[in-house]
Amino acid sequence: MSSRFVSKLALLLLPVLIVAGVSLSRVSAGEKHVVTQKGKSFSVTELKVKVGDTVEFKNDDDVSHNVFSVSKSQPFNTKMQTPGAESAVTFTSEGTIEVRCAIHPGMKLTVQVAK
Amino acid sequence: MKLAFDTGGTFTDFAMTEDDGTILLHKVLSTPDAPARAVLQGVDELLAKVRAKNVGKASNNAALQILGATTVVTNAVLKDNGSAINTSMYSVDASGVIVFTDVTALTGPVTADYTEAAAREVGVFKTSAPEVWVRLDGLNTATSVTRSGQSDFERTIVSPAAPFDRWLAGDKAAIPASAKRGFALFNGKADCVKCHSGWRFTDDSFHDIGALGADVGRATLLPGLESMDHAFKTPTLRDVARRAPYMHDGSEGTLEQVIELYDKGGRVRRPGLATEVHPLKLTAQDKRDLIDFMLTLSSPAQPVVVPSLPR
Repeated sequence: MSSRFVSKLALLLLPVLIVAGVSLSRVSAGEKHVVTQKGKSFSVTELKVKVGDTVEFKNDDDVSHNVFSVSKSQPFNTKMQTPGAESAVTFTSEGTIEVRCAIHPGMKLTVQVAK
Repeated sequence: MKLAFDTGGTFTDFAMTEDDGTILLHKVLSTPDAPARAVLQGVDELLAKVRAKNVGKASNNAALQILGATTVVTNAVLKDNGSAINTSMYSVDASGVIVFTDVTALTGPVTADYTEAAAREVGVFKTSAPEVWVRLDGLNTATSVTRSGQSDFERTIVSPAAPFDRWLAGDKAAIPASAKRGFALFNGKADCVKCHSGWRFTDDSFHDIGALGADVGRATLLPGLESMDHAFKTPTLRDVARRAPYMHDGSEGTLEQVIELYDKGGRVRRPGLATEVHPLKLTAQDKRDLIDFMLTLSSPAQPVVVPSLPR
């Protein structure tokens, strides 16, 4: 097989691979949920999601927030979110995740991640 | 289920109501050297009674509500979602961890991610019910009891209506024009209200405001979170003019110096500096007006009775 043929083949296959990649990522992406932060509160106090789902934490407040969790199954830290900022967290394993804002400890959210 | 206990000099008494309304009573000898031990023992024994009664039924410890009372600390009522009422010393988080803490000293975090040995070192105990962990910041050491006593005392210091409150209530002459301008700056150009909000002028939250000092503050409890590095709890501004020096370590001697800190956007700019803190470009008049506003938060001086220690 000449190297020219290989490169031609790769060029032909490239769009196929890209389309396949997109559709695969769509299958594995899971549902998207949006949790907003406004008035130093989360928009919900409890949220049920499935493994693979993504939660978009959106700061709709006029102050900065720092959403995080020290839960065993999925610790995460969105770092400082200025007003308007968004951070997505994909939940990869089942369990109960206690979510807090480091800056405002009164902000509490429990995310139940099920299979 | 609801559980109440009272730590007395001789006995620690317990009462528990189950979801069906059944009341269980229990009593153990107090352990004055470490009051927590008797509380733990009683909780253990009561839960054992409940389990014995409810063999085969689903456990419901996550919905446990606790009411605590002792002769050394203030009574407290809990909600099962972990939000402690105002002056509570106790809270229960959603995973069933009972947290005995003094919210005037700190609020959260709570975690059950401890090995048993490590847990005992930091004052977290697992009861015989595997779902129920007890954290005893407020009761298990002499230092903590001293701290509880101190916060009991501090709760007797109250701030009644100040000139600012009379102005809010409609008395236009209660505060000078400069203070009114200062209040507008407070809510506008200086934007102090972002954190000093509500009647008490605090959001009860934690910020690095760029103050001097080596103490990392909240980062001791929440290591690895940049925003918590050198973060301290927003203090009330009620009676602020009476409380010099300022900041967690007294590093700012006067209200004028505090205003300078904020006007500069912090004395020190660390990566976790609160985004609400930035150079304000206040004029000399602005600064005087802000201070005049803060002076209107001083309530009529209340006599404070210094408590005498038991012998």
